[in-house]
Amino acid sequence: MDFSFTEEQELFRKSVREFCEKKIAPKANEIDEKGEIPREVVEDMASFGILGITIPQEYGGSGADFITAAIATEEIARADISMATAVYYLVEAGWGFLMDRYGSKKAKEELLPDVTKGKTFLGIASTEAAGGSDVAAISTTMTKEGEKLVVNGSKTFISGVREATKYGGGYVTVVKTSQELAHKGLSLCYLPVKDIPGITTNIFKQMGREGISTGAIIIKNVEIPSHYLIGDWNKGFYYAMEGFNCARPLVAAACIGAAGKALEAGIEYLKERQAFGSPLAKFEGIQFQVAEAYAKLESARLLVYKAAWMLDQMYTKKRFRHKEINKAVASAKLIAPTVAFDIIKDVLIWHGAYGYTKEAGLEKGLRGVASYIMGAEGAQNIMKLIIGRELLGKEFAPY
Amino acid sequence: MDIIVCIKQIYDLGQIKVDTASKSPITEGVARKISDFDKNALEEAVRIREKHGGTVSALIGGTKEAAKEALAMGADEAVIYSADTDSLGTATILAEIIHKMKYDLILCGEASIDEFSFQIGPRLAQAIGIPVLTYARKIELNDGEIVVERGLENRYELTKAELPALVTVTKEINEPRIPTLLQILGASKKKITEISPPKPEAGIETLSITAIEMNRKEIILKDTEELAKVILSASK
Amino acid sequence: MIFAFSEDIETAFEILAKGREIADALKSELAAISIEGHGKEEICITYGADKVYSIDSGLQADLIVDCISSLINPYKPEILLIGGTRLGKEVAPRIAQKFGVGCASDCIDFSLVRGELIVKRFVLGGRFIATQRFLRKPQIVTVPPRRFEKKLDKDRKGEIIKSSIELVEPKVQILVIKKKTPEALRIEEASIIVSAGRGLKKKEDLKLVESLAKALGGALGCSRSVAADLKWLPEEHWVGLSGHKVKPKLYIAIGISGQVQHIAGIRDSKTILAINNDPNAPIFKACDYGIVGDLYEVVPKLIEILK
Repeated sequence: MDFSFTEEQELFRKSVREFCEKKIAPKANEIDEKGEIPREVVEDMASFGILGITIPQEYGGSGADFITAAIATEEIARADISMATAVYYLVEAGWGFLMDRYGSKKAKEELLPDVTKGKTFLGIASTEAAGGSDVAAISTTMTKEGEKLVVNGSKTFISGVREATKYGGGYVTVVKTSQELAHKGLSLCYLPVKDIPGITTNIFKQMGREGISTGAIIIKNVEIPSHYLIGDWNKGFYYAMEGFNCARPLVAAACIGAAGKALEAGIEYLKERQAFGSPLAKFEGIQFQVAEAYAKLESARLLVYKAAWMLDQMYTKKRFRHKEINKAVASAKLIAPTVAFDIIKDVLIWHGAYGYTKEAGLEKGLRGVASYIMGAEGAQNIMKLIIGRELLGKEFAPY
Repeated sequence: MDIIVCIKQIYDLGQIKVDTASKSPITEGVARKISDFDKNALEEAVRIREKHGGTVSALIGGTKEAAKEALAMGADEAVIYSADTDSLGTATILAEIIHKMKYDLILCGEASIDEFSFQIGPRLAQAIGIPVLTYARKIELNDGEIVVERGLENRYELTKAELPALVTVTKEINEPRIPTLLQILGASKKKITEISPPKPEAGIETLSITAIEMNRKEIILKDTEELAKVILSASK
Repeated sequence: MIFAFSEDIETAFEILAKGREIADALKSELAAISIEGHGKEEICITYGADKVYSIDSGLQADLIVDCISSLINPYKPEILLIGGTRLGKEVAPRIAQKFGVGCASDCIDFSLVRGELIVKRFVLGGRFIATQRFLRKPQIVTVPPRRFEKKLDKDRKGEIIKSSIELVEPKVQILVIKKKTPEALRIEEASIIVSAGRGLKKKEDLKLVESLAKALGGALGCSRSVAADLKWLPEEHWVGLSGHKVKPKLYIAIGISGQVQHIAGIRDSKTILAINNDPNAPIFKACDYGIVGDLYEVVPKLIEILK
C-alpha cells in the first residue's frame, strides 16, 4: 500500500496551483459578484489543457485519469471556493469522459474539440421537475422519426444553462425511450441548446456558486441527428449511473479543495488574531476544532482519492466491480460536502463578524459547498440509499 | 542553436518561518521552487529553440524535482548538481560543467530572488571568457550574432555581441509557461544527469542569518481626517 | 588601499563617505576611480578621496572591468567599493571572478573586525539579514545607491592621477540608447508612492489611486498581482522584492494585503500607511498607520480633504 502521489502528479498539482493562483484566484470575487466566470478564465483553462481533461488527446483533451482530474478539481476549488469554476470544470471532466466512452465517433469529432477548447460547454441534464434522484421516473421522451431523433419534455436544476445557450454547448441528457419499461427504458443523448428551435430556458437565482448558472431547459419537439444518441438505445440508465460515478468523486474533490483553503486561512487567522491577551489559536476550545476539522478533512480526502483510484483501476486494469465502486464513490460524495460545509462554517465563526462579510471571502464557500448537500450529482440521502442498497442487498431497497 | 540555461532551486520564501528564540530562519520542511527569473531564462531558451531549432540543456543547482519541472517546461535534458557554496563557488562549478559542453548561448536569470546578488551570469561569462549581456528584456538572434535590448535605470540599450555569449534576462522578457499535464507526462522520459562536482573554494563565509525586526508603529486610525493629517506631516 | 568606483556620481560620493570611515579606521588610503573622466575628479576629493585615478575609457562594462583590474594588479587594494547600480552590479562580480574572490552585493552596513570587513546584507527574500566575511582579498562590495549620506569637506586635498591602459575592443557593442519615458522612470526615485493592490475591483479603479498619487505629487505603484497577474499596470510600477525595492518618505498601500515579498520591497520606507478592508491583512502589522475600511470610501474622501 502506498498513499503517495507520483512525481508527475505532484508536479501537476504544483502547476495547477500556480495556474489557479495566477488566473483564477484574482477573479474569484468577481466571479461570485457578477455571477459569471469571465470568458478569459475559461479560455485560459482551455489553453492550460485542463478543460475536458479526461477527454482523449485526439479531441484536444489530455486523456487524464481520475486521480489527476481530482487533483485539478481540488486546486481549482481552492482558488475559487464559491465552487463555480470547479463545477464548470468537473461537469465537463466527468461527462466528457462518458461522452467519449459511449458517444458516436461522428458526435465526438463534431463536439468534443470545442469543449476542450473552451468554446462550448458540456453538461449533464438529468433532473426533472417531478424529482431528481429517481431517474427511473424520468418523463422527457425521445422518439425516432425517420433519420432524426425528437426530444420532448423539460429538465431542471441544470448547471451551465446560460453559458451553454450564450456561448454554445449542450447536455448529456437522460431521456425515456420506452414508456413500458422503467429504468431499462432510458437512453442517453446529446442535446444542443444554443439557437435550437424548440429549446427555451430559464435561469434560477440561487443561494450560491453563482458564477455558473443553474436553470431549466424546456424541450419542445427538438430534432437532433441520430448520431447524437449516446451508446445503445435503452441502455441510458447504466451509462448515466456510470457517469455519476465519474463525476461524484470530482464533486467531492471540489468540496475538500474549498474546505482545505478555508481551513488554511482559518489557521493563519487564529495564530494572528488576539483575544484576551493571547492568540485565538491558544484557546483549547478552538484548537480542538482545528484538530477535528483537519482530521475530518483528511478522512474525506482519503475517500475522494480512493474513489478516484478505484475508478482508474477499473478503467485501466478492469479491477473492482460496480458494486464496490458505487459504495466508494457514494461514501466520498456523502462525506466530503458535509465535512466541507462544517469546516467552512467553523472557519467563518472563528473570524467573528468579519467572517460574515463578503470581504473575508469565505461565505461564498459556504454557499457554494451547500449546493452539494442539497443536491447536484445526487443528494446526500441518495448516497445513503446507494450505500444501503450495496450493503444490505437490493431486496432491502425502499423503492 | 544549442542553449544552456543555468537554474537555481530556492526555498519558497513565503513559507520560511522565524525561530522565535534565535531569530534564525526555519527552512526545514519548506517547499522549494525554481527561482522566478530563472524560469524566464528557461522560457526564453525554449522559445528560441522553437524558432531556431537546437537543444536546451538546463543546469540546475538543486534536486530532481526542479529538473522535472524544467524538463516539463521544455528543456531537452537536465543536469543537477549540489550548490552548497557562494557565488564564486557556483560560477566555478558551472564553468567547469559548461567547459565540457557544446553551446552557442547561455541564459541566466538576472538574479535569484532569494539572494538578489546579480552575480552568477557576469561571473560565469567572465570565467569562460565570453561576452555577457545583462538585464535583457528582448533577445534577437541572427547569423551568429545576438542583439539584446537591456533595461537600465533610466535608459534602454540595444547591444550586440558575437556568439557564443551569455545573457541574463529580466522578468519583463516573457511570461514563463506553466507546464500542462501533457508536458509533464511528456517530460518523464527525458534525461536527468546527476553530478557531484568537487566543492570549490568560496569567497565569502556567512557568519549568521537573522530575521529583520519589524519596527513599525502599527497604529490603527479611526477616520480619514486623521489619516490625512498623518499624510501631510509624513510627506513634508 | 581602498578603491571606490561608481559611474553614478551621487552614489560615488556616498560610497566615498563610507570608504573614508573605513580608510581612517584602517589608516589606509582611499582612492576614487574615475572612468571616462567625468570631470568631477576634484569634487571626489572633497567628498573624501585621497587620490583619484582617472582613466579615459568608455563607460562600458567590458572596459570598466579591464580598467579597474589594471589598478588592482599594481596597488593590491584591501577593499573595493562599487556603487550598486545596474552597471556596478555587473562589473563587481566580474572583477571578483577574475581575481577569484568573493563579492558581497547590496551591502547595507559594514564594520571592521580585526582589520577585516564584516558586511550585512538582505537575504532570503529580504526578510533576513546575513552577516558575512570575506575569505580572500580584495574584499569586493557593492553598495546600494542612497544607502549612505555623502559628506562634503571643501578643504580636503588630494591627488589626481591620470592613468591609461591599452584598451581592447569591447566584446559587447552598443547600437542604440533610448531614454526611458518619464512614466517608465524609476519608481525607486520617488519620495511618495501610492500603491494599488488586489483590493481594487477593476482596472478602471486605478484612476482613483492614481488621483491620490497625483494629489500628493507621488508616483503610482502596485502589488505583484496587479502587475504580474492582472497586468493592469506595466512592470515599472511593480513594488516588491521581485519588482522594485523602494524607499520613499511616504508609502501608501491601498488594497494591498501585504505578502512578505511586498513588505520586503517597502521595508526601507520612512512612513508606511495602509488602507484595507481586511483587519487581518498582514499589511497592518507592517505599517505605521492603518485604516480599516472600504478603499472606495476612504480614498475619495482623502483626496477631497487633501485638496
